[in-house]
Amino acid sequence: MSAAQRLAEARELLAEHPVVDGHNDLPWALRQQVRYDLAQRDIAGDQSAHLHTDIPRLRAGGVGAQFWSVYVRSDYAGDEAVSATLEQIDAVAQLIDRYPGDLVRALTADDMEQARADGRIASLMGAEGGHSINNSLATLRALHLLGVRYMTLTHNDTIDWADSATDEPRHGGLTDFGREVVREMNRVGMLVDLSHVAATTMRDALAVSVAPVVFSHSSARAVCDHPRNIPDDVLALLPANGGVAMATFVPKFILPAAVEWTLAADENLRTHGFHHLDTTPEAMALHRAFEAERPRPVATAATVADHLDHMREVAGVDHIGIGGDYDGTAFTPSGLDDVAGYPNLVAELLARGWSTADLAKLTWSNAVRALRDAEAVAREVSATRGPSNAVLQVPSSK
Amino acid sequence: MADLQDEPHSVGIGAEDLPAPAGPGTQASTLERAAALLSVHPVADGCNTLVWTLRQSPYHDIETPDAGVDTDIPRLRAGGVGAQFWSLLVPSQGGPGEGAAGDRVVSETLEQIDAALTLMRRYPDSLCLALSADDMADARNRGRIASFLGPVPGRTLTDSLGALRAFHALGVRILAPAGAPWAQETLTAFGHEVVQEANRLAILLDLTGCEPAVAHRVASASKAPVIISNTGAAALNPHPGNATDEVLALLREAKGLAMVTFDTARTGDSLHAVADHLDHVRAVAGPDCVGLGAAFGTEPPGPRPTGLTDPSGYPRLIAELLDRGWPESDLALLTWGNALRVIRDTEFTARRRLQSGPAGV
Repeated sequence: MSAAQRLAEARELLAEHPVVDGHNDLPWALRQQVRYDLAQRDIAGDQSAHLHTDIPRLRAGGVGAQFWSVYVRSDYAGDEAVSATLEQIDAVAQLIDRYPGDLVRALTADDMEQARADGRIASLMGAEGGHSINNSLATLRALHLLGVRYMTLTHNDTIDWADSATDEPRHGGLTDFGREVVREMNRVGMLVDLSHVAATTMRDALAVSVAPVVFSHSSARAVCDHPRNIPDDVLALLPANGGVAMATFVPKFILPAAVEWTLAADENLRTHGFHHLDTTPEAMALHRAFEAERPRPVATAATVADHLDHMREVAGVDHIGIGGDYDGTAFTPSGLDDVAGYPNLVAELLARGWSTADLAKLTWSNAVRALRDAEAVAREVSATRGPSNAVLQVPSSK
Repeated sequence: MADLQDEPHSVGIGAEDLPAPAGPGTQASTLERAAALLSVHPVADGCNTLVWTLRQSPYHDIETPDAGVDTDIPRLRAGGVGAQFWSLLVPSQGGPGEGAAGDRVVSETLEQIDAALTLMRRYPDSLCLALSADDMADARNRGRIASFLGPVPGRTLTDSLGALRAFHALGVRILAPAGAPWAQETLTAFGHEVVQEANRLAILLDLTGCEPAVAHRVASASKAPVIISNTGAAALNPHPGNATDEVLALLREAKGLAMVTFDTARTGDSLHAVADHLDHVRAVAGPDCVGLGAAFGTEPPGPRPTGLTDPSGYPRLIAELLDRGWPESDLALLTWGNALRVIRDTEFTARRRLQSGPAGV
C-alpha cells in the first residue's frame, strides 16, 4: 500500500471513528491573543496565522470530540485562579454558541455519540490544575455543574494537596485532602486527569480512584525520559483501573534530542540573565541566535507512534488515546503541525500494522468508554455518599 | 401560557374554594381573610439568610420545627410563603480564621450556591429552584416554595463578567452591588458593564446597602427595574440601612420594588411598627412598588418585632394591613404580584437586549 493509499485509508477510518482529543488550549490562546474577542479570531475560517486550531482544520483532521482545556496559569491562586477558570468556561460556552453547526456542548458519553451521529464536534471541558478550585470542594462541584468533565490534579506547580511532576515535591504524592478531592471527583463524575502530576501522585490517585482516570496529554517515560511522561509501572495499572493514557505531541516531552535541546536552550537564557520562559524581544533574539547555531530537533508522526507502540504494549490497546496539546505548545511535530494532522498519525500507525479495530479504540472508543464508566461509578457512589464538605487543614505557619 | 399561569383564578380549584368575603368586623375575620388571601397570593419574600446560618450550624432538619433557627418549612408554610429569595451574602469576608484572607470571595460564593442547591435537593417536596417568573408561578401551582438564588455580593465578581455569567449558569438571579469596588461612591465604567450584563442575563439588581448616590446611578443605568430586598423607611427611622424617601421615589419611577424588613433596629419592635413602615413605603413608592423582605434565616434570639418573630407571622401582618384599610388588590400586589411583575419585566428587558448585541468580555 502506498503512502497516499494509507492516508486515504486513515481519513476513511477517521470519518467513522473520529478523534477524541484530550487537550486543546484554544480558550487560553483566545484569552491571551484577543481577550476572548471571538470576532477577531473567527475559527469558521483559516486561523493558521495565529492558531493551531480552527474548524476547517478540525474537520480535516477528523476530530469528533475535543476536551477544551479551561486552563489558567499555574501561578494564579485564590480568587484569581477561580475567576479566570470561570472566564475560560464562559469562553467555551460562547464558542459553542457561536458555531452551533460545528460544535455542540457535550457533558456525557451519550452526548459524544450523539454529536458523532450528527456530524458535529462534541465539545467537552477539562480544567488543568487543582489551583482552579482554591481548596474548595464546593468549587469543584460548581465546575462540574458548569460542564467540566476532567480536572488535572496539578499543573506545573505543586499545590497544597498534590505534587506536580515539574516542581519540588512537598507531600510525597497526594495529601489526605487530595485523596478526598479524588473521591469527590468520583462521586460527581469528573474524570481524574493525571497528566502533569508527579509519579507519586499518579500512584496515590490510582490507589484511591474507583473510576477510570485519564492522562489528557502525556506519553511514555520509557521512550523519552521526561517527568511529564508516564512511567511503565503506572501504565501497567491502567487495565485494572479502566483508564486511558492519551499520548501527547509536544516535541520537548517526546523526543529525547528535543528534551536535551530544550534544556540547553533554557540554560543559555539563564546564563545570559533571563528566565527560561521569558518572551521579551531581547530574550527571543537570544533564543533565535541559539537556534541558528544549533538547529532544533524535529519530532514527527513516527515519534508519536513510537510512544503509542510502547503504550499499547504496556497498558494495552484498550487504554490509550490521543491528546495533542495544540495551542498549548509553541512547537509541534512535522506532519502533526496543527489539528489537521491526525490522519498522518493514523497513516503512520497503519504502516506499522495497527488494525482498524485497534485504531478505532485509540481514536474514539477508549475515551468515550472511560467517561461512560466514570458516569456509572458516579451514579453508584452518589447513591450512598453525599457531597463532601471536607476542608484543607493548612498547618499554621505562625 | 405564562400569563395564564400568573392568574391564580385560572388554575381551577382555587377560585371555587375561596371563602366567601366575610362581613365587616371582627379581628378573627380579618385573620381569616388574610389567610385566604395568602392562599392565592402567597408571600414572595425578598431576603432570607438561612443558607449561611445552616452552613455555620448544619445540624438542623428544617422539615421539623426547631428552635435553633427562625426559618423552617412548617413555619414558612404557616406563613403562606410561596417564593423566597435565598440570600447568598456572607456576613464578612476574610475574617479571623480565614486562611487566605480576602482571597476566597469567589469560592465563598460558589460554596454558598452549592449549599443552597444542596438544601433544595434535600427538601424537594417543599423547595423548588426557580430561575424565572414562569418557574415562580409553576412552583405556586404545584404547592412548592419557589426558591431564587441570590443576591450574590457584587464584590464576588472580582473584575470578571465571565464570573457573573458562571453564577447565572449556576442559577443565581439576584446581584447586590453594595460593597463592590465598582459601586463605591459612584458607578465605575466596569460597574456600568456589570449593570448592562445583569440586564442582558435577567439578573435582578438589589440595591440594599447602597449609598443613595450609587443607588441612583445603578437605577438609572439599569434598563430593568431594580429592587431593595430588605429595608425600612428612613423617614420613620433614620437607620443607615433604611431607604430615604428620595430612593423610594426613585424606585417608584423605575417601577422597582422596595421590600420591607422585619427588624427591630430598622423597623421598630412591633408588628404595628412594621405596618407603619409599609404604610409609608406604599405612600411614597406606590402600591406597585412595595413588597416584603423580612430577612429571617437567623438564629434566635434575634431582635424581632413582637408578632413577627418568624415566617409564620405574615398572616397577622396582612390582617393588620386589612384593618388599616389596604384594599385586597394592593395586598395581592404586596405579597406576590409586584415581585412576579419585577422578575417578568427583567426577563422582557433581557430578551430585548439579547437581540441587540453579543456579550461583553
